[in-house]
Amino acid sequence: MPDIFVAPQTIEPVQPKDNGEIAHPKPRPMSALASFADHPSGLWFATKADDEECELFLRRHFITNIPWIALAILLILTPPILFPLLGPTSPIVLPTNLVVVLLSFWYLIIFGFSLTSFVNWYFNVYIVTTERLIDVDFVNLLYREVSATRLNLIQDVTVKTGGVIQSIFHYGDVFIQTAGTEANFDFNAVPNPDKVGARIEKLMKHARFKDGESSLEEAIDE
Amino acid sequence: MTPDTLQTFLNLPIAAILTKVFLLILIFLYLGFAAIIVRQVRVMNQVLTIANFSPILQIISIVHLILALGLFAFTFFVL
Repeated sequence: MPDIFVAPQTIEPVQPKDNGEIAHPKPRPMSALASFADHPSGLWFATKADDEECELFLRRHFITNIPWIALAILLILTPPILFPLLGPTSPIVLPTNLVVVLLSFWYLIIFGFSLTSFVNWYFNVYIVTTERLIDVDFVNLLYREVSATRLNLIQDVTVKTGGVIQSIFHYGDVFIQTAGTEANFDFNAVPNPDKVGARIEKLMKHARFKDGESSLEEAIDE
Repeated sequence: MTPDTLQTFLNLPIAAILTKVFLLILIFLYLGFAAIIVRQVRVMNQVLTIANFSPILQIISIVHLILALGLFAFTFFVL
């Protein structure tokens, strides 16, 4: 029976070689605003080891920025819409200089709001390397957190997708449970969550094989 | 307060001074916020560098700070 739908393959599968080593495709240039990059080049992070290669670069899907973009547009349009409506009937007349300062301050606040919202999205990234998972959390301007765990400490990977928007734009959450007292990792609203989960599981099994916790057959089969 | 009394109050010289001081304090606080953005973007760029976009983001944050400084100066000298 012919297939009705075949999902496009966006991630090159990681194929274990006969000796158990993972073959790494050539790094590809990534866009600065990408939410999903497979073997990206042009990415550098402070704790990167020399022999560490970046497998996946993830951040929240760009569609998650729509609420703050819509709010910023609404705030930008408020004075030009409101002032002509109030102008002729307003009982209070403000000096022109004061109006200029107030309007400038209004638009500066919108600029600041947009900038912080963008920076929050831009620096909230998840990186999967051949050795570790790295979660860079930029919670707000005064609080940030960078956490990492080794792939062989991962116990379980859960993928969760739900809702109309997530189904349409194909993004979701990937929860990664780690061993013992290590912090768990939540990759929120990342594109292609199924493929991300599968890739992390594959790398996790390979890392375990390297550490002698599983057999070569298990690593290759998975 | 009716609009007429508010308009009368706004026409007083003391109202202009109070408005100016109030706005200067607000913009000064905003300047601190803008400086924190510049600082945090710089720190985050040291943690993570993505595809040569980091300097552009740094410049945008500095432009934001300069605009805030400009507004403070404009309010101080013109208002």
